Amino acid sequence: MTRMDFVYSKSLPILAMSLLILINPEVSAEVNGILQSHTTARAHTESCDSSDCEIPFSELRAQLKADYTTNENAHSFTANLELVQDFVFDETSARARELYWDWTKGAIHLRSGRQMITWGTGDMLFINDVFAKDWNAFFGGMPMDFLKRPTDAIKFDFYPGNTTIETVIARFDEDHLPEMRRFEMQFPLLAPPITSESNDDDLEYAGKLSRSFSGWDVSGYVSRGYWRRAAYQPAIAAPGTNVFYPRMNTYGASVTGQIKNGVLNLEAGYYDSRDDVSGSNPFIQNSQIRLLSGYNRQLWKDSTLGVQFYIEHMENYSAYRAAASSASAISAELNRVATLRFTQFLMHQTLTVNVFSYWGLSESDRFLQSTLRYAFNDNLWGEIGTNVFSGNSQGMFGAFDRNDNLYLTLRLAY
Amino acid sequence: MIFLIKKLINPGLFLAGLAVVPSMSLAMDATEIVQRSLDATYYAGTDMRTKVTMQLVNPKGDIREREMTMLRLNGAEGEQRYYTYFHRPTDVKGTAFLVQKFTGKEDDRWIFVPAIKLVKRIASDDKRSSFVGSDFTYEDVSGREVADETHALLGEETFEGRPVYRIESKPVKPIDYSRRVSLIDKERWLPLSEEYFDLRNRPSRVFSAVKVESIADIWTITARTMKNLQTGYRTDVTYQDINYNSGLEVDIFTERYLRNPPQQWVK
Repeated sequence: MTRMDFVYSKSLPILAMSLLILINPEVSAEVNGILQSHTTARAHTESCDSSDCEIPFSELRAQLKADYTTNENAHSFTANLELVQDFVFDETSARARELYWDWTKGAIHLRSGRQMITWGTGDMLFINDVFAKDWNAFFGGMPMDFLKRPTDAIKFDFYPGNTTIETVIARFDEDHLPEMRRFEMQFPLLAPPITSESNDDDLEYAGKLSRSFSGWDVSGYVSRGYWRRAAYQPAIAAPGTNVFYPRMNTYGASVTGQIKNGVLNLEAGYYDSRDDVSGSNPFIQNSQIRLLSGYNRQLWKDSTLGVQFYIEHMENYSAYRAAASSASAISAELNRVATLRFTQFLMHQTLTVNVFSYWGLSESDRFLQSTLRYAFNDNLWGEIGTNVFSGNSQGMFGAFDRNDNLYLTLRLAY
Repeated sequence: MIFLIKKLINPGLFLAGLAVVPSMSLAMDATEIVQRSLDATYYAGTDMRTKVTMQLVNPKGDIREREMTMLRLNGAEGEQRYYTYFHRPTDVKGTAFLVQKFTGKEDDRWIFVPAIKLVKRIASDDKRSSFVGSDFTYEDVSGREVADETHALLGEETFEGRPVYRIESKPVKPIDYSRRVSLIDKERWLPLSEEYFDLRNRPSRVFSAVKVESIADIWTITARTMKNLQTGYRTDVTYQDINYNSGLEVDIFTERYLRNPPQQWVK
């Protein structure tokens, strides 16, 4: 049992209690939820020696959501409790996906508890949205709702005039990376013993300031936290690996508005890698400048096309190169990525065709996700989709080359 | 009013008037009638709050239902702000749209996706796209501009017991319909029926005001339907709990309330 599971299981009685309060008829909360089944089959099964490998995802998920707002509208409570049965590894887990209390007074809004926080302007490319993601769910074809991980945080928003100020104090949480047991790829070989530094009790801080200027939404962002992917550093004195999440601060800005009947978004950010300011530690990511531009507009009725171009520039590259000989794969100084998304609604918007692709221009790899979603009625939809990875096996997407998959999701909302 | 006069001295309108109807004065009246009808339909009061139920009915009779709260606030020079919050279906509950509408310029639009708490700017070049899968277009929901079409008065008659003007409107720029014929109530200025014709001049869609009521002395269409004659689909819409001039404030129409619905108005 990981520490996280332990926290979840310990919080179960609290969850059950809050649920009981919320569904109490006298409290008259709004209650609804979903029942979702998701199955992913691997396209290449030649090297598989078990059914777990052929079917990396097979789960049934139930969510129960309840909202309750007090009569004077000052307080509201939201719970989204989740029970997941994983048929691949025969595991059952219960957790609160969201569990928070809102308090509003005048120009102030306070949200405390487990919540989703999404910032920034990118489509699947993130600069100032520093909050934890679930890449395991995304590459396994789970619906977009599951790309974001919830954050245990206190979020304090202030709205003076036309300006919005958002501040977040959150408990650190890492990205959920594709799991070794579900994805076949080169995972780093670590010299034992492995010592992990826990960041679980560490706090992170983030702020956003935004305002609209004649139709243009302008935002500035700042955060003090950690990289969401672990650094694996060989121990110095004795054999072993030290696993930890290095410190990072970010500063950024974004602007979005309408040009020629389409929406243009520009975003920039500076990732300040505090534990490796000189860039000479190849096991810790160097500081980076990240830039994103995107444009999306309607092509014809009920269709949208979105394109994005993204650049990640590594600072102190020569220091990194000089030290990197001992690290396995050498990263490039400039990482360029382009994306394309096409969406078309058909049959009175009951059928949705969606194609999304990442093109690693620097790493020469690609990722293509194609989906077809049909809403049988207001309560039930089904989606079939494919994830195809290709190109250079050292690239971010090429590394998943053997994980092309086909998935089916059915969701019943009640 | 100055706006209307500017429209009337638009040379394009004179030409259209000359071509379509025998008397030029009638053509000028037609534009004024349509302007009044747009004002009555989309600009009534200084603000409006209503609960909207949409039933999307397919030719087999299967029904899909959307339930939302719509808030509208009029600003200066024809500017408007719309806030739409979805209560149903469950899967989209909490989704909200914010539209800032201008005259002579594209709207600014935002959507809030509750599952990931995402506020997203969306393109607005889709006035003729279907509104949430219904037979109504975005334009049918939040209005068009009088100058988007040229108008001609075809006659005056009685429709379902009401005196009406029969008006023919043709889009100025090529679009998915070639003309529409509306019957506009002479006293209440509301459109009681509109028939759209496709580019081959075949009837394509028919709008009907099913129920017209006086709400706080403002004549309002409280039940309407749009039939697609070519696909056999139909959308029935009812407006309930309508309040005019209830003092909606402009700050409701901001990102803050996209993320956190204004409970007082949305309940």
